[in-house]
Parts: sequence; structure tokens; C-alpha cells
Amino acid sequence: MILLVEDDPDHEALAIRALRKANVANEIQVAHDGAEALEYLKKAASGAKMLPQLILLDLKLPKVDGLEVLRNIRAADKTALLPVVVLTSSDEEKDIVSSYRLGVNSYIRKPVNFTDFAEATRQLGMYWLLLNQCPPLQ
Amino acid sequence: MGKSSWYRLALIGAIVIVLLNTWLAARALNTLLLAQYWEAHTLQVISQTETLVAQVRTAESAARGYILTGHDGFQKQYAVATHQIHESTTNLQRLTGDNTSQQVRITMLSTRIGAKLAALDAGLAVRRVQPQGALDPALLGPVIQDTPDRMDSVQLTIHDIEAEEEGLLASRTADATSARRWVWGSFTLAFLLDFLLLVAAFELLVRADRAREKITANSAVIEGLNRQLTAANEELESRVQQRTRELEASNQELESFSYSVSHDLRAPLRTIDGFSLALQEDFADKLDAQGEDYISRVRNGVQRMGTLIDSLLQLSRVTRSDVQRELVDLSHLATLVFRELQTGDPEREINWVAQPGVIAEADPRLMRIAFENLIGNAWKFTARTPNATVMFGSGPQNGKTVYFLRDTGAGFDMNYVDRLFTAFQRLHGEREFTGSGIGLATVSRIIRRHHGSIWAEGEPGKGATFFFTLTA
Repeated sequence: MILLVEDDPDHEALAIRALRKANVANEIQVAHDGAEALEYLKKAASGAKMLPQLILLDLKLPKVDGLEVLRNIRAADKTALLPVVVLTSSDEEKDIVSSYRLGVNSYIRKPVNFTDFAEATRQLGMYWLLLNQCPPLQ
Repeated sequence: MGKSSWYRLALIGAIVIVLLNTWLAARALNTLLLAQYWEAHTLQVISQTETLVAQVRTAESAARGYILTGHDGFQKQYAVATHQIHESTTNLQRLTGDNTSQQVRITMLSTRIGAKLAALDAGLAVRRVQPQGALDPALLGPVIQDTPDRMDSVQLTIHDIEAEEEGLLASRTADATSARRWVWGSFTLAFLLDFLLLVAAFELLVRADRAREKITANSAVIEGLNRQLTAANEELESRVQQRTRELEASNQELESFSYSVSHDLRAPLRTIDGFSLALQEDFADKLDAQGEDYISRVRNGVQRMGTLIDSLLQLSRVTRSDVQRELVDLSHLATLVFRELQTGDPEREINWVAQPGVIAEADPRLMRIAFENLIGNAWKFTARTPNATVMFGSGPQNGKTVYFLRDTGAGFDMNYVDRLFTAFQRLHGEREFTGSGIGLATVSRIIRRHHGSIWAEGEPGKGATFFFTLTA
């Protein structure tokens, strides 16, 4: 299961399309802002929902921003080890540095060119869902 | 010679004058006292001499009385007188101890008085043998006859002694008078000098006081100026702080603006491009060649806008970031950038020549951006030149190190060189070479942030050379 945290519905549709195109068959759960993402993860931690295998996180989000979501993920025992990939338009150095300081697993800047984005999404799915050995879920 | 040295010299002079004057006055006073002592002494000698004369007379008349009357009272009077004469003579001798000629005279006087007394004694002896009645004049003859004569000789000697003493008195009185004059003179002089010195000292004191007042007044003025300066400084400081705050605020604004540009402007572009691609892929069967062409034009436009936004962001970031200088191997850095371009476009064959070991003190991150733009430019404008060469090197010029990047590409017309480094100014049409028109503006800003300068030389069809320095 993949948790996609994305507020722009266009980008949500395009991301899902790119993942499907890349043959990623996993269920995709979408959170439309930071608060929703935290709400979902809280439920998942208590066992009411499924814990995601991968979190794709935008940084610029309404209500609670991406960095704050990341901080909460890393602070909670149940979600501390989840692989989180930041997917954002920003290539500001402070965003990159803050994300890595908070323990992000990967930082990818969304290219304008969608062909490149599709390729990046394909590689992401391949790497994090197939190649990479994730820590066991608690 | 300094002012203080003059003052010291004047002080020493004044002390010498006062000492000299005091010595003169003391000496004059001493002379006066001595002269007065001798005057008194002479008067005493004269008085003693006169006393002696009176005593001799007394002895003589007592002796005569006894000889005439035979009364015992006269005999006793005579005994007292002779005793007094003896004392007076001794006294006189002591008083004139300093005067040899007087001593001689006094010795003579004493002899004569002795002779006189001896004659009187002989007369007295005659009377004692015959206490009553008239005496034989023959027996008394030598006494009576000799007596006036002997008295005269005593008188004469005494006269001599007195004459001598009178002479001494006159000279000593003159001495005393002159000494008195000296004393007066020297004291008057001392008074005048002291008065002058006092006046001078008072004048100096007044002057010093005035100077002190002036200094006090000046220091008050200085203090006032200092206060003004401090106030001005404080105001300046607060103004600087305010400006800094404003600048920080405006920087913050710029930063959030850039952030928004980076995120918000790119987001819709991604949507356009994403759905264009989706159209292209998912509806390929419904699109003809013209439809495909339109879609690719849409995607090209989006691509250019994306590049433009990225270039603008880079320009603003170059302006905002601090220049952190360290030793950078520019040859290595330029070669790295060239290799990256080569990797991105392996078809192109360009000769890369870099002078090895060009090291400069510069910000490596900013210099990488500068090279990316400069070498990227060269890469772009040599696209239509077969067997092109791009060259990096450095050389001294007017005592500074000048770095250059040369290409054998399309070059440019020197008439438009001024527009080269301005944002959005392009010397080539989009049809010829694509570009944002921001690259060289970014390079220029990086060089300026290093306090250096940048300029270019070119010729259409022959190539372009970009020169830059990294110090003021």
C-alpha cells in the first residue's frame, strides 16, 4: 500500500496514472493535506487501518505542511521506520536539508517535463516496493 | 626651545637674583653692625679716658687737702681715688687691646700717672710725720712744684689718646654711615626685585588661570560635541538597525516569493505537461499528425517556461546567497561542468582545452553556476560549428589575474556587447539558438558578488571570448 500525500487533484491524478503506467499494482491511499495524512497514520498505528509500505509526501500542503508530517512520522514508534519519499516542486536548499535532517529516505524534485516524472515514478515504485528491503512492520 | 623650558629658566634666574640680593643685604647689615660696634667701642674708650682724668684730678685734690689740713678724710679719699685709677688704667688697657699705638700711649700714661702718684705719696708722708701746724715749704716743694707739671704730662698723654680715638671715631662713623647707605640700597633693591618678581608671578598665575578657564570652556565645547556625536551615532545605529530589519524583511519576502514561484508556478506547468502527455499516450489512436504536432508544441512551450522559471530562481538565489570564498581549482571545476554537458549530449564532438592548475579564491558553488552558464553558452553557440574548440585559461593583465572562456562558435556583433549581460536580452533569435536570456546576467551577478568584473569580445562567425576577474 502506498500513501500519497498530495493536495493538487491534477497532480494526484497524474501521479496515480504514472504509478499505474509503471505497473505498480499496490493500493494507493490519498491524503489531501497534512492533517488528513496524520489522521490516517494515527489510525494505522492503532491497527484500524493498514500501515503503508511507502509514503510519497509533498512538502507544500494545507493545514499541516510536509515537514511537520515527516517530523510526526519519525516521532511515532509505529511509523518511525516507514520509508518516506519527498516529492515536491521545491529545490530550495533549506527544504532539502530540513527533509534529510528529519530522516527522509529520498528527496525527488518533480520535473516539469512529465515524461521525466513518469520515469522517476517508475523507478520509485521499482526501487522502494520491489528492490529495497524494508524494515519489518511492527 | 619649548615654553616650559623658558619658564624653568626664568624660575632659576629669579631664585638666583633673590639669593644674590639676600646675600648682599646680609653683608651690608653685617658691615653696619660691625661699624656700630666699633663706634660704640671708641666712645667707650673716650669715656673711660675722661673718667681716668677725673679720677687723677680727684686723687690730686684729695692729696692736696690732706697736705694742707692734715684731715684723715682726705687721706681716705685719696686711697679710694688711687684704687679707681688703677682699675681704670687696667680697663683702658683691655679696651685698647686691638690698637698697638694706643697701648704704647697708655703704658706711657700709666708711667706718668705712677710718677705723679709717687710725688703725691711723698707729700702725704711729710704730713703724716707732722700732723699739726704749717709744714716746711721746702719739704713740700717737690710735691707742689712738680705736681702741676706732672699733671700736665698726664694731660698731654690723655690728649693724645683722645685725639687718636677721635680720629678712629670719625672714620668708624663714616664706615657706619656708608654701611647704612649700603643696607638701605640693598634692601630697596631687594624690595624692588621682589616686587617685580611678585608682579611677574601674579601675572603668570593670572595667565595660567585664564588658560585653565579656556581649557575648561574648550572641554565643555568638546563634551558638547561628543554628546552630539554620540547622539548622531546612536541615531545612525538605530537607522542602520531599522534598515537592516527592513532589508531582512524584504529578503524574507523575496525568499517566500521565490519559494512560491518555485512551487506554485511550476505546479500548473506540470499539470499541463502531464495531461498533454496523457493525451498523447492514451488517445494516440484519435490524434493525427497535426494533433501530435500541437501537443508537442504545447509541451515545448511548457518546457521553455519551466527553464525560464528555473533560470529566474537561480538568478535570485545568486543574489541572495552569501559569497563564501575558498581556494577553488577552476580548471578542474570547468572541466567537470564540460564533462557533464558532454554526458548529456554525447553526439557532439567539441575540443575541450583547459589550462591546468588555475586556482582562485572564490565561492565554489557560485563558480559552478557561472561555469554552467558560460560553458553551457559556448556549448550552445558552437552547435553549428564543425570541429569547435572551447578553451579555459587565465593570464595577468594590469596586475590582476584575468580568467577567460573562449569558443569558436557563432560569436556576436560587438555593437551589441552592452546588452549581453542584461537579463532577457538576447542577441540570437529563438529560431537559431534557444535560451532564456538570463544565463549571462546570472554570471555577471556572480562575478559582481565577487567584486570582479566581466566583459566579452566577439566577432560574428568567429567565436566569442568571455573575460572575468574575481577581485576588485
